[in-house]
Amino acid sequence: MKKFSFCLVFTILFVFLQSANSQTINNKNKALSERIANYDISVKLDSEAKTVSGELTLNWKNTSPDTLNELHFHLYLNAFKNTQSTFMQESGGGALRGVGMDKNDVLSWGYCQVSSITNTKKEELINSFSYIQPDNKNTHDQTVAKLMLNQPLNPCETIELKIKFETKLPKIFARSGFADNYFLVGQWFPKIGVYEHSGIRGAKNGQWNCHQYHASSEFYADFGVYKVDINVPSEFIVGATGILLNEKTGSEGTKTLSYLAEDVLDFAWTCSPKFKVIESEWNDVKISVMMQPDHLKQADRYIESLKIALEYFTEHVGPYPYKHVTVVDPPLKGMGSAGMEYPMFITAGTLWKLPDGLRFPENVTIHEFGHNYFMAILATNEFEEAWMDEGMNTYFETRIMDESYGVHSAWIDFDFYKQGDLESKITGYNYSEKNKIAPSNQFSWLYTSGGYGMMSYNKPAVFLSTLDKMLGRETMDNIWKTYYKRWKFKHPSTKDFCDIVKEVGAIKYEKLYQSNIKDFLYQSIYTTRVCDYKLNSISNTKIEPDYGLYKKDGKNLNIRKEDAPQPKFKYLSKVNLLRLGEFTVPVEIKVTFANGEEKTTVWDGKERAHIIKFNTDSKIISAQIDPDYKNILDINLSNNSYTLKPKKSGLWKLTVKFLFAIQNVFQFFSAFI
Amino acid sequence: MTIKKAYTNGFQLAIRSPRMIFTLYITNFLLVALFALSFNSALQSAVGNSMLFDNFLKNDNSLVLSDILNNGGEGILAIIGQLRWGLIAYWLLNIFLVGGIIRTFNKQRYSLNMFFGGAGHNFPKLLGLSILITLTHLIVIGLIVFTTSLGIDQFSHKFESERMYVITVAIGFLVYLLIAVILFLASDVSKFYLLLNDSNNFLKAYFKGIGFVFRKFLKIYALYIALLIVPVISFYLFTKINGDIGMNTGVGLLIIFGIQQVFVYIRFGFRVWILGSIFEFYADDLLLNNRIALDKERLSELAAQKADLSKMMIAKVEAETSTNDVELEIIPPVSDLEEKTVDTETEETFDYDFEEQKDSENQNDQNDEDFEDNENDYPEKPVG
Ligand SMILES: [Zn+2]
Repeated sequence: MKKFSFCLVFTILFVFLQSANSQTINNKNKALSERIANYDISVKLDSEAKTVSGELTLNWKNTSPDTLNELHFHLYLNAFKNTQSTFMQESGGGALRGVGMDKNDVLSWGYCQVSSITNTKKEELINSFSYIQPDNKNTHDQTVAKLMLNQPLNPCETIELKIKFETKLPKIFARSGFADNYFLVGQWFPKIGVYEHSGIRGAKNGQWNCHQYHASSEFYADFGVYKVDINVPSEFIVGATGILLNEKTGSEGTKTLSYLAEDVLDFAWTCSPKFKVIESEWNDVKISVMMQPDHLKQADRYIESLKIALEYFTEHVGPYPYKHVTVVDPPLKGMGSAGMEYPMFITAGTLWKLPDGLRFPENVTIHEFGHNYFMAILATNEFEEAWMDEGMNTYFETRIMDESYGVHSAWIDFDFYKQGDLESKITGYNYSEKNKIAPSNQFSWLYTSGGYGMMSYNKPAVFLSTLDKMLGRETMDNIWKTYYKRWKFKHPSTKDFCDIVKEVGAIKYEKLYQSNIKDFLYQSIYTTRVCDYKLNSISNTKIEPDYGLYKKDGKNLNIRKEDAPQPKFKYLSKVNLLRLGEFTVPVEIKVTFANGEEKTTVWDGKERAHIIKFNTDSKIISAQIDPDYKNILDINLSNNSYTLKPKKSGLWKLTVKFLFAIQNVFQFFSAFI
Repeated sequence: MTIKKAYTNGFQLAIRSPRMIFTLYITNFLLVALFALSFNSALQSAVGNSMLFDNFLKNDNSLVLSDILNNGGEGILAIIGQLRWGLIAYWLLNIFLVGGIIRTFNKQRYSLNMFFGGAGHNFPKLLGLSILITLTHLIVIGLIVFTTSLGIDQFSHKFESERMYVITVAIGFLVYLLIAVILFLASDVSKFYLLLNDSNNFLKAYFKGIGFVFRKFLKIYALYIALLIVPVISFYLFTKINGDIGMNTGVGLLIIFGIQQVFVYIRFGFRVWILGSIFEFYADDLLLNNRIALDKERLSELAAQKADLSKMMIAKVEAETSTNDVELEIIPPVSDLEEKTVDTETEETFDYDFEEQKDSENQNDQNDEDFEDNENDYPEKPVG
């Protein structure tokens, strides 16, 4: 208990220091994070054997109130050791994002082998190091190991371990590995898991959060300082997380590069003799783009989009706290490593002569850079809450892409076809047959029937965009700024984010829609409900005068139709609305009358059927659900409006396009006679 | 015949055939319009009362398209699915129409009866030929795909980037284009062969066609490339005009629709022009070498064009031949000649030809080679 109090004081002191120094972020002397897991690594690359071997010193601080008897480690690359690993089993024999493993080549396999673990007393602990499988019963999986300590680790104590290891890099198909002489070295060293003590991300009791390497999952780690010395053949050009401190010539035609990265949760590096490095700057951030020679002309596409992203995130979320960003442009054979994020270091990807109208390099740069915020600064658990990194980041990706390159043309921009980035995400979720496959908050490896991408990327981008439209940009940005300020360099959970949304957005939401924002968040994140409202019909009925038998002043009256007083209004007009989906959200209804008058009303969207009535002198000619297209979650836009005077021009335009396209196709094939 | 002459004669044939081009255009338009109208009515019934399309005229956006494809009912997808049958129907229809075109060329005049008569008469053999042509294309494509993938397989470990893949595929595509031109030319020539000989042996016709293209390779290839220049320019102009006007207003939509239809019409004109030029080129060659006796009326015209005779001479020939309206007459093998009477006019006509023939020796040599495997089919020397 005493130790716990000490720890609490320490934490309060840390928080105080952190907030006091928020303006002087990235000041070398000030820690931005708790720096729980610190690594001093020295490795040598064998470019022929495709191994990285060496030693690391881990300095790990027990910031929990618990006394620990064991430490858990990730040995991620053991996922590529054989066909029986959980990764290989889950990925259908070794594939990721359409890139498959070359199992015919013995060099394709990978592993991370620990040969020695010693403590400061030079006691060898390797015999207490054993593989465990916290997620399933696959005893062949060796991607997580447990180290039993010979002495308990008390709260607020730090343990220092020297770990000797050899990593054999796999032939790249899933993020990390080699392709000829290109190396992308990620998830490569024995890495300690996260000890989540009670209170962190809702944990009731302290526990190790150290999941196996799964096919559909990324990672989770604590912050720390990384000092990494990398020895490579001297002709190799190296890029890495952090800042290059120095480069020394080594023996036998090698060189050693020393990197320092502070307040990061991972360290990745790359090398190849073929890289062409282009450098640039944004404010005081150095930008290094490591290009394939054939892609050199596209370096500007990476650099410009990266600058756009840096500017945008700084303005709408919070400052970029590091001094360097490296963008890696992988070769074709290393495409399995493309589109991946590490702190201060991202991999993008392009192709030779890729047309400007295909904005893949811009998109991937903006997306992967965004992970420096949603993952690397706001360090969510990607294993368990993938929507918080992929989803939030995809939402920002669509904002940046669409605002920078056009709402309807950001992603594909040709004369004959254009598509915006958010449009592409909407299409991927709203119109998918699998859009009810699972909720977004599911552990990522449990999407066994698919849907990981849709629920982690597309759906969150869609519901966050809906929230954005409903709350307005200013309020939405306040949510992001608050989230950043409160949770940077920590481990926020879904609940933590929702609390901020409620705190910052609830008043406005309730005022605008007389509805609870909690409902919206709950349905979006925790349920598989889909949203579909239909404007079923509109009708205008002439109001007849009231006549018949009445009693007035004790007298019976028989009022005939022709004597009846004329009604105040000519028509009783009705708009008939249906809720076809399970998801309920307040929606605006715009009604247009024949005299040009327009009326907008809000429906809470809860009933299955709803009728809006108007007594009016002018007939309703059209009505529209969600006229400003705020409810992006609606999976059917065609049924959102109804008009008695349809404009046919749009349909004819589509028909003419169809006609001409088919005339061309037919005429083309008639050449083969 | 010079390339220039084939080129201009083909052009003249095309501009003298507006009704034929219209027939081609209108069949294309009507068949496709059937689909387009059902597409439109499917759209109307699915989203006719929706306002989703209200702004589509001004800015078409992909989301509206995705929405309509996903929520527009089965009707739209069903129509899109039916298009493949439409394509097959159109392909067959075109085979039918080509028979009419060629008879029209041969007769040098257009009448609906003759056009469709020719189309019907020639349909079965042209169908056989077209299947053969399509198969050849598929085989060529298959071989190219096989060779390129074999090449990629063999050398991909040496490929440093996707550039080499792109280049390899581009080379494969280019090779196909080069071969495709030969096949297109050969297919046109073989059609003429079939029809001018009134033969049913389309296999033989196809080989004759290929043989002919190889014999006249440089000339005919150059002719074809020259024939492609105007269509390419017009395609460029079309896309530019299309882009400049845009479909963003009702009037714009109408104008673009009009331009599109003119463009399709003109393309049929180009097709007729190309066919015409190749026909001129081929028929002229046949005439020179006396392989067959053409329709006499046509024969005299060709001869007149080639020999550039005075009007009087043409008048004389016409006067002598005008009474004959035999469509086609194959000159039988030498052994049969005595039993058949060959019109003396034909001999006269060939006299003109030989006077004008500048490179006939060379051509004859090549012809002999080409025909050596079936010498007995045709006389080696001009009749008479
Ligand atoms: Zn991502």
